[in-house]
Formats: sequence, C-alpha cells, structure tokens
Amino acid sequence: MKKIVVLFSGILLLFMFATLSAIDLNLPVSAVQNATSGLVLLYPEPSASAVNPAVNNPGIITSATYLYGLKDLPCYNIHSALRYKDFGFYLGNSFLDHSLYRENSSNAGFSYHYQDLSVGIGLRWLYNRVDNYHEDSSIITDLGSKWINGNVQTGFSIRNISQSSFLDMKLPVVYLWESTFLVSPESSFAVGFEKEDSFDFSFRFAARYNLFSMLTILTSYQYEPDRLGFGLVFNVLNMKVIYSFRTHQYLDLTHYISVGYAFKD
Amino acid sequence: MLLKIKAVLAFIIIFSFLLAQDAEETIFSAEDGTYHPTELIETLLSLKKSPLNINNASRIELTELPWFSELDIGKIVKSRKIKPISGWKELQNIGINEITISEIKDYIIFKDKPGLKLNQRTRGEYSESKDNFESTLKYYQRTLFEYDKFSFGFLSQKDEGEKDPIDFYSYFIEYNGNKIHSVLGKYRLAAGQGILFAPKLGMSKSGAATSVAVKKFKAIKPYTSSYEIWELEGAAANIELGNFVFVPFYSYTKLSANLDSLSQITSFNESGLHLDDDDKNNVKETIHGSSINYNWEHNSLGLVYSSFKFEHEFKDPQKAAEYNAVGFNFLLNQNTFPTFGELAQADDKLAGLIGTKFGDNKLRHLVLFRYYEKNFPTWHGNPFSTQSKFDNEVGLYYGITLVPFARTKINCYFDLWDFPETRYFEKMPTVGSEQFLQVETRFKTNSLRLTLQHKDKEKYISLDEARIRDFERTLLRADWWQLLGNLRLKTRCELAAEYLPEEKIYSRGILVYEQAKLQWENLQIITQITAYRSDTQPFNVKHYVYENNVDGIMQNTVLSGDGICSYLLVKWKLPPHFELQFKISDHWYKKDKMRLYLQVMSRF
Repeated sequence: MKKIVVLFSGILLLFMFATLSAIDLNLPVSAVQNATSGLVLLYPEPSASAVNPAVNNPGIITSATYLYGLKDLPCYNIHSALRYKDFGFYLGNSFLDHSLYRENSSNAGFSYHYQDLSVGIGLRWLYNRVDNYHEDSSIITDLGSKWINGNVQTGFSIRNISQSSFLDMKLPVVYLWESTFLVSPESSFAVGFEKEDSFDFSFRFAARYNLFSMLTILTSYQYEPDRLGFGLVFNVLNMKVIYSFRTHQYLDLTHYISVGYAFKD
Repeated sequence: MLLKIKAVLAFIIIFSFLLAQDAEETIFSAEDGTYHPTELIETLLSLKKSPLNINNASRIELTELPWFSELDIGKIVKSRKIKPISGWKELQNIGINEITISEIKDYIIFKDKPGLKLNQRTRGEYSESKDNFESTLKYYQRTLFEYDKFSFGFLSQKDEGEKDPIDFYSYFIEYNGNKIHSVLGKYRLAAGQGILFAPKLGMSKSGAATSVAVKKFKAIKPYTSSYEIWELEGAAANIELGNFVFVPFYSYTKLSANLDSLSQITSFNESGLHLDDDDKNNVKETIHGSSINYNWEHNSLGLVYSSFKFEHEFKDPQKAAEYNAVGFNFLLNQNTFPTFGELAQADDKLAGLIGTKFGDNKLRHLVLFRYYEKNFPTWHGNPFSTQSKFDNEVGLYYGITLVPFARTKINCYFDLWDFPETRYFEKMPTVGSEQFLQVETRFKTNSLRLTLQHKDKEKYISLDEARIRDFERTLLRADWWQLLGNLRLKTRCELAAEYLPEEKIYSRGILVYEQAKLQWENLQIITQITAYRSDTQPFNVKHYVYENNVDGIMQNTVLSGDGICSYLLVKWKLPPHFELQFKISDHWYKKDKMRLYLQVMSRF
C-alpha cells in the first residue's frame, strides 16, 4: 500500500511539472474507451474516472495512439486511480501533440463509495495552444454517480457542470449515461448515450466477452456519428495489454495501444 | 423534432418486451428497395415438406440449417456414430441448445420412409395488369423423382407475355452417395463465403444478425431456382477422399444479354422476362475449374480455381470477357471461436472477406470485414455485401444476438461501408451506414416483435444545386401475434420515413395490416387486409410487405401512395397425395391489380 501511495504521489508531481498543453476534444483516453466508444463501466480500468469521476478502478494505465492513423497527430495518456477504504482518488493526463496544435488535459478526481452507490467529482485543467493564433487554459468541473443493482450497473455524469469558458466562449456541457448488464458470467452488454448542447444524442452500444481467462474481446457501436470499435485485452496476472481500433466515416482507423496494471484491493 | 422522435423510439425499443419466431420471416430483409427470395427460404420450405433425417444427413446437408454451428454438427455426427439419435431429448442431451432445437423442429426427423418418391408442383398465375399481353398466364412446374440415392428433376417456367411455353427450364440427375455427390444438368455452385460462386439470390443482412450474414452452402446443388440467369449447365461432382474433398465442374450455358451494334455486351437481362426471343440466350459462357477442400475436425481449408469465358466482348473496357480466378477460403472452429474468410483474385482484381463469431448462448457476436475492388467480376458470386453488385465496397459489419431472458431475444446489427471509387452518378467516393434493432418476446399465446431499421447513405440527389447528400431511411415496425385456438392473428403497424436531414425534406408513410390464419384439419385459410398511406413527393416512400403465398414463391409486395389491399389464400390438403393451393389478391379502388394463383402439389 505504501509503495502505491509513493507511486501515486510521483505521478502527481510528474503531472504538475509536465509541459502542459490542451480545446476539449473529448477523445477516448485509453484503448479500452476506444474499443467501447467511451462506455466505461463495461471493462474496469483506471482511466474510466476521466469520463465519470464516480468510477474508481485502482491501477495505472498508459496509452498511445496516432489519431485516425495520422502520424503527425500522436496522443499520449496516463491515468491512475487509488482506493482507500470508501474513498477513491484519481489522477490523469492526456496530451495531444501536433507541431502547431497542442492540447493537454490534466485531471484529478475524488470519489466516495457507499455500498452500491458511488459519487465523484473531477477537476480538469484544459490547456490549448495553436501556434501564432491562440493560447488559453480553463479549469473544468465534472460530476458523476454510479450505482449497482444486481446485474446492472448504471452511471451518469455531467462534464463541465461549472460551465467554464475558454477564449471567452463557453465550453459545452455534456451529459453521459450508461448501463451495463451482466448477461452471463462471460458476457456483458452496455448501452448509453452522450448529449451535448446543440448536438444530437449520440447513442452507444458495447459488449464484452471473456474468451479465455487471459483474453477479453470488447466491441462497440456509436450512432451519430457512426463508429465501430473493437479491442482485445490480454490479461496476465494484474498486467493488461490492450489493443483496439475504431472506425471513422472518412478518415483512417484510430489504433490504440494501452498497457495497464491493476492495483490489488 | 426528429431527434426527439429518434430518442423516444430508441427508448421504447430498448425497454419493450417483445416477440416470437417465425423462421420464414426472420430471414427476410429489404435491400435497395426490393426483396428477393433466398435459397435458404427455398431450402427451408422444401425441408418442411420433406424433413431431413438427422441420422443419415450428410454434414453438408446439416450445414444448410442456419441455426446449426459447426460444433453442433460435430456433436451430432459423433453421437450418431455410436447409436442413432432417437428424439429431441437426446439431441438436447448431446449438447444442442434449446434455442436451436426450437428453431429446427419443423425441419428434422429421426427415421426415414423408404421407396420411390415423386414430388410434383404445378402453378399458374394470372395478373390483371398483364391482360394486354398475348399470353397472360405465368406458369411454373417442377417434377422431382427420388429413389434411394438418385433423383431426377425437371422444372419449367414461363412469364406473362412470353411466347415460348418453356421459356426457362432446368433439368438434373443427381446422385447422393456417401462419398460422392454429383449433378448432371443444371446446377449451382458455391465455395467459401461466395466471392466467386454462390446462389445469386439471398440477403446478407437480416433479423438473424449473427447467423445469416455467414454464408453456408452445399458445394453443388441441382438448379431449382426460378431466377433465370447465372445457373451452370454441365456436370459437377463432390468427391470425398479421406479429409480431402474435390469438386471438379464444367459448364457451358447461354445467357440473355443486351448487345450493342458491335455485338458487345452492355448488360445482362437479370429480370428473366424475355418478350423478344432475339435477345434471349444470345451470349455463351464457358466455365470450368475445380475446388479442393481439406477438412479436419471442425475446420476447413479450400482452394478454388476457375476459368471463365464469355463469347462476346464487353462494351466496358474494364470488364474482361475471358479471365481466370483463384480463391482461398477457410473456416477455423477452434474453441467455440469460429473464424472464416475468403480471398479471391479474378481478372487482376482482388476481393476478400474475413469474419469471426464469438460469445455464448446468451450473447453472440459476429464481426465481418469485406473488401471488394472495383470491377471485380461479380457474375457468379454473392458474398456478404450491402449492394447486389458487390464490387467497389469496403465495409465492416457487427451483429449481436442477445437473449436477456428465456423468452426474449434481441438482434441488432451495425454496418458501415465505403464505396471507395465513383459509382453511378456520384462523382466521388461515398459512404453509408445501417443500423438494425429487433426485440422479440414470446408469451404463452402472444408474441411481440419491434423492429427499427435505419439506413443512411450518401447519394447524388439533384435539387436546386447538384451535389451528394445524406439520404436517410428509417423504419419502425411492430408485429403482434395472437394464438386463439385454431386461429392465429397477426397485426402489423409500420412507420417509414425517407429524408434529407440537412435540407429538412421529409416524406413519411404508415402501413397497418391484420392477418388471420385459420387451421382446421386439412384446410388452412389465410386472409389479410392492408391499409397504407404514404407520401409520394418529394420521395416515394415504399412499404415492403412479405405476403403468405402458395408454397414455392415469395410474394413481396411493394406499396406506396394511398390504398387498401387484401388477399385470400386457401391451402387444402387431400391426404395422402395431393394438396391444392389457391390465392386471390387485389387492391381496392384500383384497376388492373387483381392476381390469381393456383397450385397443385402431389407427393407419392
């Protein structure tokens, strides 16, 4: 436990001194989320707290991708979560690195878990710089809740409940809902939606299937815009290596790779 | 507003408890505005009349039942080697699940009746709208003799207006031995996932989201379809030698094509309507080749080589009159994780398909990717695709079957595709997507089904400015079955809309029908009344209704505008040998829409 606290503190320092850069693109922050179209209850991993602060899956995960297969759009992520009794803590960072465009999102979260109910709050420091054009940052507050009822887990979160602004323009408030059903010991199914002001509902469906104890398949579909996502999770002890890809109507696939470690309870 | 409607519809579907299984209907789906009968339907109808003996059916015959997985077939073959399977309970004991058993009950028996069998079907059809033709009658007959391992068949067909009384015919002699299966005469060929050879009629997508998309066919089969083109004529054999299966084939046939002044082929007449004998069977086609399959346990690797030659050049220089094709296909069934695929090259063009199925009895998945290069020859193939001419397509399909409760089943699929090269009027690549969700639930005497289908494809639509637009079609359908003793009632309500969301241009339609099916000893009476009201401007919204019909044909009616139509179908069995079927259909208040069907069937 002590080692984990030290590691967690190290990550915090790393975030504080990192060159931060990030408008809120709301991109998947791990290979799992890339595979599940952003539904985070289906497969537990630490970066889920970035979407719903009430979710706390202790561990650490790093991810990297070239967005839409574009070599000049690399995106890096590191996220970690820790649980102490009924309290959960979360730290994370996402960084989009383009020679002319940089976006960074540093996240911190806190959650409280009481029996089958969890609530959480998250803070994001969003920084975005476009060379010779603009540079600004903003602090954003997210709220989330999660509850479990038998084989069904349901999560609801509001991103940017603080209605923060960026470059004197209000950033969007986004509502996220999802429910995950445990269909059989090996299979789960999730449905959810994302609703952003002035945009259509974006419905999502995702499924998980444990093919072997060491291999899990993740699949998803997002409607508006249409996306299909697929992922493979290789589990070795507490280590996880995740590969996923997701389609785009016009651009190439986004391939994601993540390496994670789950802390023991 | 539309957004709210969509949200409400999705909400209703997800949280509704809905319907039952009607095998004949779940394997239908609309494609590009029309329906086609499938070989699967034909096979299932035939099996209903003459069920398959599970104790001596070949592995290939068992694969024709879409509900059997390769593992199921393996269990059946292994079990019957020890002792014949005696009944449904034993089938369940060897590991065939309840869902599968409930689907196959009409098509399986456990003991055979020996002797010579004769199966004869004669059908006449009269359409009032074709009254001005010289010969108004549409006619079809099929005769099939079966004795032990041999069968002989002959079928003929004539459409309204055709002068030749045997405008289209098929004939065959079939030998069905333990190790050799051969056909002499007209036949159809299938290999792998159907890129090079497959039955031409058949849908890729349907309510059975994780089964129908995977093509499963016998390698050769006598040609009994009434689709009057792309059949093969000659000889083919399926020879098993240990783990190897060889299928040599030869065909020399004539096709009906439209030729230009230089006798170059501009297109083929796929309608089957030959009002002018000059354009009939005017292009010869020669095909020969062979396939080799290596089968072990539940796995298979296959190689196909074939040579094609049309005796006329094509007007389109991109299409070759003579070319060779080679294809590789595989089916790996390890660990309940079947993976299948096919890769083919023809006329220097490439086509490929790969898919996998995974999941358990409660949640099954199917993922399928396809890539078909533009101008790949599609003449005899019919693999999974979103368009009937399957070249110039790249796509990803994802199907799910979820059984959350014992009597409830949810099927959904999502299909995304690109047409990477220019097609038709579109002057640039276009994309499309389709979403399908069907929730079914059964009660003791009631069944409910709710279906939502949405298609969005980029299309050239000429309005005030000529450009490609997102063209969408959404369909919401509710079906309700009730069983009241000998009477089965079916109610359907359907809403359809076609629209350009960006331009806010909408057309809508509604259809309602009530169907009553009465079974009284050897008499079955089915009647249906349908009312519909749909916009014809700016888009002509169409409703596709699959009607019960005399066995052997599928009546897929396309309705648009406003109207009421009805039909009456009577099926009268005269045991032990005869069955009469009669149908009359008409559109109220519309002229020349009446159709009459009469079919006589005999079995000895």
